[in-house]
Amino acid sequence: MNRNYVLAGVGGQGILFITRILHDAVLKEGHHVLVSETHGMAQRGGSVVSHVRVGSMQSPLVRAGTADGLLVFEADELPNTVSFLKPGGAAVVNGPDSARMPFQLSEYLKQLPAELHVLDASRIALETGAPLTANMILLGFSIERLAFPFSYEAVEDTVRNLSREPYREQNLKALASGYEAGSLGEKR
Amino acid sequence: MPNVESPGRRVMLGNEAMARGLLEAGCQVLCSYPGTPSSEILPAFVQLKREHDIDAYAEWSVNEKVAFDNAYAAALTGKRAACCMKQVGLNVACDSLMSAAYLGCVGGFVVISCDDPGPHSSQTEQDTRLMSLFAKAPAFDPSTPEEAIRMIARAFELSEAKRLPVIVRPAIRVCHAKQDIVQTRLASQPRKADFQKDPRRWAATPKFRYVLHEELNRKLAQIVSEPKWADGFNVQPIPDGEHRRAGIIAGGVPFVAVRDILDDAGVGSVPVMKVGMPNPYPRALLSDFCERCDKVLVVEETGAFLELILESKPGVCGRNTGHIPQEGELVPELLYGILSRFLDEALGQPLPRAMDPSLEKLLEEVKPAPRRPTLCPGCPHRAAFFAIRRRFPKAVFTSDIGCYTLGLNLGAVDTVLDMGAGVTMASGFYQAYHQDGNDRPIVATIGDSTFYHSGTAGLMNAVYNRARMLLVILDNKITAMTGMQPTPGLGIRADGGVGGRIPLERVVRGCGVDTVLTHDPYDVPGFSAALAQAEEAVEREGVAVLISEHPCIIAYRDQLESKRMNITDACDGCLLCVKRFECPAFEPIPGEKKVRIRETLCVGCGVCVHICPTGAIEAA
Ligand code: SF4
Ligand code: SF4
Repeated sequence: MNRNYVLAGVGGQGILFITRILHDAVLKEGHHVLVSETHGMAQRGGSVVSHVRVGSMQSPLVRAGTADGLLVFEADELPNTVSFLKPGGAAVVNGPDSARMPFQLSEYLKQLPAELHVLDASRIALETGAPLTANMILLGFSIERLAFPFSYEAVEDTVRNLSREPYREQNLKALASGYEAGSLGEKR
Repeated sequence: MPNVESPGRRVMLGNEAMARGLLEAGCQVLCSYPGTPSSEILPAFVQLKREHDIDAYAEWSVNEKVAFDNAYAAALTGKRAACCMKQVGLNVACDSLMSAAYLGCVGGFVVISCDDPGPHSSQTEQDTRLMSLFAKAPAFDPSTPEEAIRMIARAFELSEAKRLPVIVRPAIRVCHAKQDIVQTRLASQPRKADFQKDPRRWAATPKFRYVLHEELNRKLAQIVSEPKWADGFNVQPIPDGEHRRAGIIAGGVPFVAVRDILDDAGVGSVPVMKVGMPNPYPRALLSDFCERCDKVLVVEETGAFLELILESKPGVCGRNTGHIPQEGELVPELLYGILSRFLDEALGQPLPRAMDPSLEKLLEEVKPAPRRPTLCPGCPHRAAFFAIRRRFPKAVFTSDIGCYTLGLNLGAVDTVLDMGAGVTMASGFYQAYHQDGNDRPIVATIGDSTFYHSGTAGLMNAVYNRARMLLVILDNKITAMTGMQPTPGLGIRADGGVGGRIPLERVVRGCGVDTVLTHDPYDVPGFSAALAQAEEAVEREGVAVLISEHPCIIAYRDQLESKRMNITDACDGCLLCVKRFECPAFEPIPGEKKVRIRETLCVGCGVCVHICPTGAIEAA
């Protein structure tokens, strides 16, 4: 099984942490994984992109037009990264609502065709009083939507392992609430 | 460090994998100066040796030449030693590298020089393989983190067998790739330092250098004739007696990228020759491959190393024939087009179309302008640059390599050449103007780490030759740009231990500067007064130095006394705070002549209170 994912956002959103959760969860399910990250200017509010590849490939970059899923932590970064999606792929975006997207972007997704799911994870996180957990909410939400090759339980486990103490419970709660919103009521 | 998740396998960053490779190979000494994409190798080395209780030494050296020389000396005592740096860092160590190739070594000596095709965060896209050709030092070119580990082991063996420095050059897509890697055991190396004096070699005079050069050439010829060194790394895939219409030669990261694309597109039968050990170059293997193909495409990063070697071969194409762009990273989508055109030319069979043209047009329309990098909200450099720019509206501003290069957004950086050039170019500008009797104010900026790296020689030179210039050392107490490594000013060593602290002010005075002021740039009025004082000293003495001292707010976030900022009705929307002060936390309110503060970004440093012309910004 080969799968390609691209994660995008800006510095400070915890994208590298989410990347780490993904690759550890992938490994736990016994697949090979290759990741490419942006380092360097990340702290200075610049774009952060990471590529996660699962399967037998050897080069770390996802080619444009071949990503199964896109996980976008800042709606402004969608136009930058939408070209990675493959026909039939899906994008999960953190943003207020899909209606505000530029016309060409919706048109592009429609013609590709690709699914788009928008969730205002930042607002939800703010409302629960833990603004820094938006990334976890979005991750939980995307598990089913992006057909990640691992179970919710594997992610939960990984989050538990990787989170530092005072944030562990918060992260797990955020992950669960995102997952509930994303699993369309089929599970849990 | 990643957790061990499944038994024996763990996902590692390329740089962590290489640190592991060094320790697996028994490297006892590692020296480095931080630089993207190499910076994580040394910290991972320190972490691993601690976890496994391995007796190895690691240091952040003050610059790359110093790192090289330190590690090299260890290799002369018979130990295995390595230094690591980024590709432009190797320029700083180039003088040593050239000589070390002649003199050779005793224990294994490996130079890891990380390339940055793209370039993602470098001044130039230079290709370390060409440097290895220049220096006559063998080179390995890994395609993946896992391969980098194996190449490091081979490099040490080769270095010891031939008594030669050996280069490993991972590109950024190896350094910052992550891969699941099988973990093997690490063990301490018991080798003791034992330097055998041999001044005829280790201090060879020019006549003997000639003899050593001859010896080096012999060693290189030997290496090529012994296929075991490149075994598994240089692979010619076309069987004897067979012929193909099209073939591809690639090494390093492009090799796996080409493989993935061809396999994906279902044309895995096109032969791809792998060159993982480009120097000394596998002349016979390359010739053999070219003879078996009518047309050959050479795919490599960043230079045209293999193509240079194959130049006169008919049917060979690549960068020099216009088949591949002369610059930039060969990202997969670009490579896809290149391979498709080549296969069309050679076989009449392009790859399947990657995208429908009407979709391509839509994409063009949604593409936003790239986000330009800016200093963080609350960065002390912003406050310093703002004050400098206000005090010296007409000055020439020379600067240097680090976060503060971004002072160019504030109009306070005119030049950036290389490490240390903030100081040296400032005195150069002075002399050029002075010659015409037309003195201009000259203000140089440099960070603390960069100053320790290569500021002192230039500063001494400026004082000695009576330049007139103000040097502002932006002392943020860390090497921020490359991920927060300590500096000699902190006196914290690579393993967290206590080191000798070298206060900046003493170094500056030692360089012959009499007026050395220190001030916190967050105190805008006080800092401006210090600038005025320094300006007078320049008039009197020639060179004056102002140390702008405030910790990086990312590294020392907990030290910040945060204030909540408010914008009052006095704001007239002049946008000075957005455009000139360039703080990312300010944004214009659409449709109103006013700005607001983005609370998620503002760190509450309060510097902006002093910059607003109408006094509209206040602490709540
Ligand atoms: S990392 Fe530190 S020094 Fe660099 S821009 Fe941010 S605050 Fe300034
Ligand atoms: S806050 Fe001050 S500097 Fe910024 S736009 Fe308003 S008046 Fe101008």
